[in-house]
Amino acid sequence: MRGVRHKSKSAWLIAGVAAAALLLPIIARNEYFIHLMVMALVYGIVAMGLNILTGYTGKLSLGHAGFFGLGAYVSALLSIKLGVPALVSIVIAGVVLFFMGVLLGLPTLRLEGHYLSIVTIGFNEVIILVLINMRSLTRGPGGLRGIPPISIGGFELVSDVSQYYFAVILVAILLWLKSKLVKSHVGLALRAVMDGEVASEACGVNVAYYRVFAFGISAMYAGIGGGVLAHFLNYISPYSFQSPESFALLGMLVVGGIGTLAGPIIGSIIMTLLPEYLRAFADFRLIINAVLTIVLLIKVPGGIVGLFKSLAGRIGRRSSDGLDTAGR
Amino acid sequence: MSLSSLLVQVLIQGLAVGSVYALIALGYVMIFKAVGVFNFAQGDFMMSGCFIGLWLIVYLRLPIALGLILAVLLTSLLGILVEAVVFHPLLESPSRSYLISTVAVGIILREIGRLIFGADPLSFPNYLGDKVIKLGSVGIPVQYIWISLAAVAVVSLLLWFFKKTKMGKAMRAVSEDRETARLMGIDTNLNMKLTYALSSAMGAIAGVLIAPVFFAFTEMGRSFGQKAFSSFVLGGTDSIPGAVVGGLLIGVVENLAGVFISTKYKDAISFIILIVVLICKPRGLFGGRGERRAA
Repeated sequence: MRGVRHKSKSAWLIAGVAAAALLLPIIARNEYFIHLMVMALVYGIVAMGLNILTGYTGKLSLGHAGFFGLGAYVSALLSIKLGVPALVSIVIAGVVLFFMGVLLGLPTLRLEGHYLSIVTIGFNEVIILVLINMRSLTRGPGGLRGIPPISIGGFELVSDVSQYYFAVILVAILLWLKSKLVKSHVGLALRAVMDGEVASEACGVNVAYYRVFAFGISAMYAGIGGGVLAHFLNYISPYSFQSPESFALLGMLVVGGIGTLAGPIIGSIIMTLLPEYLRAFADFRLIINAVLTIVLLIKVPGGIVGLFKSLAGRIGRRSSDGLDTAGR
Repeated sequence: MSLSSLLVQVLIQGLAVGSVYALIALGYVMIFKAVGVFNFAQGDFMMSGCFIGLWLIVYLRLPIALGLILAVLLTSLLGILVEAVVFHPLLESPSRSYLISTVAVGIILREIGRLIFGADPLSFPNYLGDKVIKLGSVGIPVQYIWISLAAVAVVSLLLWFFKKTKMGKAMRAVSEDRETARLMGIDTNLNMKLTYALSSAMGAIAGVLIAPVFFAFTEMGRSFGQKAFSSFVLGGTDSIPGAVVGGLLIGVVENLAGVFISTKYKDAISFIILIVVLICKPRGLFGGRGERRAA
């Protein structure tokens, strides 16, 4: 009974959010705001990927900006050098990054503790060094220009509004995929591993296998995000993918809510819009980001989604007669 | 210059830079043993020590010796402050929260440094002298000798502190088992503050030692911190001698590679070493075979 009510409630919520997302460009007739939302959604895709790793395996990546950047360059170069259509190169970038993640995860995800975090920092730095130094391919520190836009049936996505709708649809698809993944046996196994590594291994869960798979998917999301970014902006530079960006992605997770479905998107929207509206503090962008992250870690460990859940839980509890709290 | 004299010169430079990595790595070791988490802000404590020294000596015109000592002490205080405000409340949180907060602290320190001192490298008073000792065809900058000697002195002092003094023994007890140590009447809270004081002091010493050679710049915490981290993993993450050997090795290999392979990718060397170590010998050079596995 309760489950049904819960389900219909969340269906209403999804419908409401979808309507708001689709109507946003009509309500807010502000090109720059729409552009910011596009950026927030693209970063949100990468943050979603990071969440698949951090939220559901407990392992930390401090180098997701490296995957993001690699995805952007792979996709951009495929389109520029080989003339591959943008949509196809974005998909290829996702696949390439999946294998990159698996390759990096294989040796390190077997280790206990947070060794992955340092390996990913290293990966991030090495990727930046390679992008800067392989001038013949990447044109070095100057970045890549003239990346063709995404084209769907002859219609080129160059205006902010068209990019916005594309990003909304892509986020919806990736969110749906993520929710499927989380509910599948892979997701179950991952959460079991996080709750008790030894116990789940004893129960026959192949800990390393699931973690490496999650890491691959996580890198794939980052790669897709990177590809989309490249074809949206038509220009990328290695400096957009340095390690402070990796931390910014983690900050988005912490603010939105680690291990929640919508958290990364909410976090990325907040963390993208907030500095813009605190423009007086442009120099303090990174500090604000870091301080906010620490404050949330200490005071609101569940992030904004967690906060809402506990508020909703409290209201629900008050309105119910208290008989069904045991089943909660 | 002949190959052998070039080799000697690179070796000496590598050892000096490596001993700085070793000092920073000791900070990683202390925090890892006490909390079980990597302190990614360690490199930025080094940077803070360096800039506090610069501020005291150049801007406040304190005598150099006094400025250096005060820089180390103030950095220790900074370590205590950060532990109390940020890390202590997260002690019982999941380790990933603690870890994320250390990265955040590193960014905050670095950004404050950049806002005050700018992003360009600043020259640090060269109290180590710029003489070059000639040994046949080999010229050895006297700076490098002082850096190595100072590092040896600091490490010896630290070993003595942990072995002989009551406070040092208590810190070792806490790092073995915090709960038992607390039951034995050791003030674990005070101990944690001391550990942070000591680890950030190691960073500060490393910072003021290397600054006359490499200048003071706000990104130094990141580059030195990451190389020191590789040293820490190479040394097995939990021993002082391990971290020292790890640091020296990284310093020498990196400088050799810079001369004989490529200067462009010199900074990538320590990461490649790190990844190879993690794959082949996850317990570091001195640990047993790779048993650092789940279960």
